[in-house]
Amino acid sequence: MPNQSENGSENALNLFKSYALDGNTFDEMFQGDGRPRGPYQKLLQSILGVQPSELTQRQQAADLTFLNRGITFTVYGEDSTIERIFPYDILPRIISEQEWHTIESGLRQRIHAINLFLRDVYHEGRILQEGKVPFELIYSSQNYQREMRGVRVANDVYTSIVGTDLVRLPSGAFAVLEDNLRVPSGVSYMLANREVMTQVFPGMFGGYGIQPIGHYGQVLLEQLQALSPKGRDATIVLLTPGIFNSAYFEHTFLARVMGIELVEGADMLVHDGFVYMRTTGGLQRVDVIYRRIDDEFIDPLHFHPDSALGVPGLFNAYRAGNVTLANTIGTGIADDKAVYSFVPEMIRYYLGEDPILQNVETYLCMREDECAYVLDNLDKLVVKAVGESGGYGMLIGPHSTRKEQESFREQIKADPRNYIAQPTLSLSRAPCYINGNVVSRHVDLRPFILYGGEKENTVIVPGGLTRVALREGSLVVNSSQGGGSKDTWVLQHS
Amino acid sequence: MLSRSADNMYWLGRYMERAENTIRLLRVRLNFMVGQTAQHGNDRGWQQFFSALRQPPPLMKNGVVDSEVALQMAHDLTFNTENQNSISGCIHLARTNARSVRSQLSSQLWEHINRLYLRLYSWQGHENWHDERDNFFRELESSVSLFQGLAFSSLLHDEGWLFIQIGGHLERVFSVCSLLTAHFRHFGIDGGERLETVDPLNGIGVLRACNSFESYCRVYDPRPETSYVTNFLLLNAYLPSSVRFNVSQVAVLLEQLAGATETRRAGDLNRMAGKLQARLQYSQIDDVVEFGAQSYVVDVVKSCDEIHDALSDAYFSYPIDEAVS
Repeated sequence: MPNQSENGSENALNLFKSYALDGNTFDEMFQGDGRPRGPYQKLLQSILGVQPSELTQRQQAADLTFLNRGITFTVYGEDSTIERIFPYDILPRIISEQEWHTIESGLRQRIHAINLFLRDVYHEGRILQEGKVPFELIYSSQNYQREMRGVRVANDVYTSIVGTDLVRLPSGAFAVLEDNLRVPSGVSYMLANREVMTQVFPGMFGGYGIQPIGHYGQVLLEQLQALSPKGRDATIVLLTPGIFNSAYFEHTFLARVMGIELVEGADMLVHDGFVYMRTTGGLQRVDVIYRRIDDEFIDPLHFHPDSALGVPGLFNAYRAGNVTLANTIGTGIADDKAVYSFVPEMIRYYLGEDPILQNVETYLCMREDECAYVLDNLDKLVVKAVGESGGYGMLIGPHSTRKEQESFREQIKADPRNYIAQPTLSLSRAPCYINGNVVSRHVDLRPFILYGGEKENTVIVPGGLTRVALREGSLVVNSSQGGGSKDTWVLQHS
Repeated sequence: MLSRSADNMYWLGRYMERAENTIRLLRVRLNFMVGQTAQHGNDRGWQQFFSALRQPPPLMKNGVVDSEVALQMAHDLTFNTENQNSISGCIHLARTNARSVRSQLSSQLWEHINRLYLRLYSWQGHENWHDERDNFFRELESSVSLFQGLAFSSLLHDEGWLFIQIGGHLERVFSVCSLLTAHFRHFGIDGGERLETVDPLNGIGVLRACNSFESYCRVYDPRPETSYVTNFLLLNAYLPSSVRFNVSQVAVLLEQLAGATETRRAGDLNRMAGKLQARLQYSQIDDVVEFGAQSYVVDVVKSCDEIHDALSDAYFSYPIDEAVS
């Protein structure tokens, strides 16, 4: 609730009547005493300055824009398939330049260390031999791809396209919740949110000095070109599972902004160790594949034999150095939720630096003492299966039933390596406009990182995708489970 | 361009054109019915309508079209997505093809198709559909025309655009031929091989369904003689819905396509198209009569089927071993 002395009319104050503030959660907009934080002052004035009916109108206009552009995902119903727009909120999340500086340098450091780690575990394995990361943790992981051992990777860039999830702790500090190093998605929603918001709400953007994000596509293209010896002359394609994939919109979006072909597995073939695509003019050689298909499905000869999505023989062509994959195969070993807890160690080991961004405290059930603690505190902790994503395979202790806890207890006992636990985090809350009121909802932040082989040539467009748990009290921000998103502004230095 | 994308572009062109054809046939048919009582003429009209759309007509025991059911089917031909000839079905399929090549369409064009699809969807449960249908069909028709305009003005005129155009022109040939065949069959004398019909006035409906009545009046006079109508729709060089016009376009565009893709596989295809173009160009209506009007049209359709297959062999699904050797 904003402080009385700051406000405009009685009517506008009503907007905030259900806004919850408490000391245990960091509020993005308001300080503890109800006064707005610096970056949000102007936004609060804007909100108080417009009629609530206007906010609703803008929201409807934005809805329609999303729908007409087909920025939708498909819901498979019993008798029909419907397309829905991704839920989003019209109030932006604002990050100051100083805060962004910390995030940016922290992520550059982190992703560089992770790439050095990936190179190491698929070659000499120094970090394992020196006991900094346990052997069994790596070799017991389903995400460790033995085929990748000793394979030379272009520029030693294992994972060039990354989306790392950050949360804000009650102290106000950002911490890393997980890294998505395989095929992260969401970047198109970040770009589409900004585009739609500037169209339906031009007035709100006036005079803030918001750092632009529209260059993501160009940077991505440059990073992909840099992975091929042919550089700008390389033929680059984006490999999609196809029109029924829930991220299909994003695939078409990225292919369009980069001006590259959007291919499906069936469009390509391997001949004499080279990859070709079938075009109207004949077969054309492919140099770099930005693949949006998981490791297991990429080549039925090497991985999942039933997969029809991939290209038979692709892995051999890759191993022969005749085609580049981005991201490469086997990067999942570093975003395994148990390996995650060793990332600070990696930063110290490879770079000799202290981590700028902290991890969330994590208990590994593979360690007996930590496992015992987890089993004793199932009602307080969040338990996660190490290989799952999208908010699945998860137990949120305080919101769970006894039965769910017992079921997890059995699962943990049966396969401790497969589980980790973290304290239930109170994610920070940001203002959202829902049903005519401004209310506070939990948010996280996924910045998108483009790694170029060094800290210096790593690009992170300012901001990222802020995901919102739109249901009151909910901590789950995944779009598959009631989450939405909002535009994220990083302010220019004033 | 990827072969699969080219295939999608081609079908995008075909389905949009097919939608336009269904819209016009429906509009003309339903308007014509207003105030009609003579069951007999009405019956042939329905028969012709269904056979132009390649749909089985709902016949009663006495072999006459049940006009109640026919009206219900008209609604189906507008909204039933399952039916690939219905307006909804065509727009739905056009959009699915467009989605597959979305990264290669301009945003304006994609959004237009998507809005058209959503609009149609929102009309689906409309109560007063029958009273407002003329407006509705007109709106749809101009929306479909706008698709052509946006494609022309916002796409690169490279192979993708050529495939859309080729699909559109080829589909139009099929539509006009099937309308002519239906007219000959249901109104013609002696199986339609001679150009005489029992109801010369029906020619107006045929011309309207091709959006050509006004043009016809400028070239001939408003009394539609069957041989003139056939001459006009089949052999006229300047009428954008005539068979000759569209076949000529296909032949020209196929030549451009072979140049744009630098393919060596288009020889047969371009020969076929050129041959059909020449045949239409140098035919006179007397030759058509001598050959038999119905048979002539059937021949044209057969040639177009072959062109379709050859297009697919040259650009979409050529054998790989040939391509790597």
